Amino acid sequence: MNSDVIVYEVKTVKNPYERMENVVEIEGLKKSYENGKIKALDGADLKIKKGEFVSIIGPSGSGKSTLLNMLGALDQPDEGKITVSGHDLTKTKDLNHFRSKEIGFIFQLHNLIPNLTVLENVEIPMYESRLSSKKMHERALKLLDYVELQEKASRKPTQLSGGERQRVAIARALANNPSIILADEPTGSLDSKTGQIILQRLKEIHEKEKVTLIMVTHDMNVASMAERTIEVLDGKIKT
Amino acid sequence: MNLYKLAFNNIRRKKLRSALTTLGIIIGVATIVVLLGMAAGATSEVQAETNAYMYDVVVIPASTSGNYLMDSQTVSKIRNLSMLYDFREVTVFYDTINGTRVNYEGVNDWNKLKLKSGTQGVVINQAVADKFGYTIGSKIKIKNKEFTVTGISTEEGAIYVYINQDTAKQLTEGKVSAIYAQTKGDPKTVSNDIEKQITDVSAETKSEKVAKVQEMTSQAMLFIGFIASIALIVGIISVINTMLISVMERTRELGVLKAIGFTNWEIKGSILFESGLLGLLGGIVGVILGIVGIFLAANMLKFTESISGMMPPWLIVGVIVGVTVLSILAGLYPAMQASRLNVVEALRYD
Repeated sequence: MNSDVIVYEVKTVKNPYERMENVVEIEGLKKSYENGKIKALDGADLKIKKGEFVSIIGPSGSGKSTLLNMLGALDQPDEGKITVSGHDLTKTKDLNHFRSKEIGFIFQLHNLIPNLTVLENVEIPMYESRLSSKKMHERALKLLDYVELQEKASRKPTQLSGGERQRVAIARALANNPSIILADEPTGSLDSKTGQIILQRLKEIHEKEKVTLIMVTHDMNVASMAERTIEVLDGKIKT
Repeated sequence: MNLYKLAFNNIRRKKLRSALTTLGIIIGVATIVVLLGMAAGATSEVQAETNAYMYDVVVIPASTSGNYLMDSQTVSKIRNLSMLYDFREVTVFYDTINGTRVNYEGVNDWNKLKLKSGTQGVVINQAVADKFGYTIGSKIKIKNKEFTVTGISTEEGAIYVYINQDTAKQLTEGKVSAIYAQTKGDPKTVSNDIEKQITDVSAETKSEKVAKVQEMTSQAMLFIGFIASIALIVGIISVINTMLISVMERTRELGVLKAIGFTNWEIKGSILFESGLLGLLGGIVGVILGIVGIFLAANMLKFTESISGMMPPWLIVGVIVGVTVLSILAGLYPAMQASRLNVVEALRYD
C-alpha cells in the first residue's frame, strides 16, 4: 500500500472525543424469512462507536450477514430500530443516496463489473456523487495508487489475480469517502497469504483514516485483528 | 464513466449475441423499407400518371351493361354532348392467336410507350414476342386483317399488342372502351348529367378516380406494411429475449450497482438505453440494406426512374425512429425485472 497517498478527502474522525459517538445503534432488531420460519435476527442490540474496527463472527446461518445487510441498508428489519451515521434506516426514504454517501462495501467475491476497466470500476460509485469526469478520474487514479494498482488501471478485472481484484474492491469502497466500511468475508475467497495482505490493508486504512470498519468473518484469526469482536448466535448478539 | 457507457459496453461484450439480435431487426427493417419503398414508388407513379392522363371526366360502359366496349352510336351521343370538349378515346379489345387470348390497345400518344426496338405502328410486348416467336417484320393477324410488327416494347406481363387508336376503333367497328373529356362547368354535375342522358354508361370525375387510386394504393401500402411488420415483430421479440437473458446474466452486477447507490430508475434507464441502442443500430443498418434492396429491385423491375419516389424521407426517418421506440418498449419488461431485483438476493446470485 502506498501510505503517502491521501485516501480520504474528508476526515472521518475529526478529534478524539468524536470516537465516543455511536455510529451504529441497534435496538431489538428482528428479521425473519419464509413467513417467520427462519429467524435470522431475533432481537439484536448493538452499539458501535465512530472509528471502531469491529469484527462480527458466528457460524453459518447465525445471522451475521443479515446484520451486515441491515447496517448497509440492503435489507429492512421486520422490527426494531437501526440508526447508522445518524440516519434512522427504518424511516430513511432515499436509501440509495445513504448507501452511496455513507457506506463502502467490500464483498467476499469482490463483485467487480467484468466489462469495465479497473479504473472504471473504481469510478462507478462516484457517478452518484455528481463529480466532474475529470475529478472522478483523478480520484480513482489516486485510490488505485493507494492500493498499488495504478499501472493496471486500464485492465479488465479478469486480467487480475484474486488479491488484486479485492484491492480494486477496496479502492471502489473508498471512492465516496464513506463513514463506514462494511466488509463481508473479504478474505473468504483468497488464499491465506493474500488474505493477510488484504486484512493488513484494511487495518491500515482504519488506523490511518480512523474510519469505522465492520467486518463479517467466520475465521477467529481474522476476527482477532479487530479492536472488538461481536458474536452472533441464533439471531442474537453476544458482546 | 456512467451507466450509459456500461450499457454500450454490454453490447460490445456480447458481440455475437448483440449482432444476432440486431440481425432480426435489420431483416425486419430492410423488408419494410424495400416493400413500403416499392409500394410508395408505385403509388406516386400511379398517382402522377392518373393526374397527367385524366381529363375532367371519363365515360366507360356501365358495369351493369355487361359490355366492355361502347358502340359507335353511344360514342356519337357522348361526343355530341355540348358540355364536353377535347375528347380522347381509348379502345381496348381482345382476340385470339392460335387459341391464346391477346389484348389489343389503341394508342393515342406513342411517346408514352417505351420501345425496346423498332418503331411505332404495330408494337408487341416481350410476352407476345416470347409466346409466339414474333419479331420486327413478323406478320400478325388482328380481326382477320394482316399487319406487320414494327416494334417491341419494354412492357412486360400480360400479352399486349399496341396499335394506333384509329386502327383499333376501325377494327371494332367504331367501338370504344373509354372516352376522356374536359367539361364545361362542374365535372361532378356534368358526369351526373351524362349518366342521366345516356344509358348503360358510367361517368367518373378525375377527383373520384384519383381518390379511388389513392384508396387502392393506401390499402396496398397498409397490407404490405402489415406483412413487413411481422418480420419486424420477430426482431423486437428477440430484443426482449436478449435483454431478459442479459438481465439474468448480470443479476449480481445489477445487485452491486444497487448496493453502491444506483437508483431503480437509473438501472431501468440503462436497460432501456441498451435496448434502444440495439434498435437504433438495427434500424440504421436495416435502412441502408433496404436502400440497397430498392436499387436492386428497381433495376430488376426497370423502375429506375421511380427510385426517388421509393425512398421518401418519411419512410427512412419513420422506420429508424419507429424501430428505436419499439426496441425501447421491448426493453420495458426486462428493465422492470432488473429494477425489482432484491439487492441481497442479487448479490448472492451465481
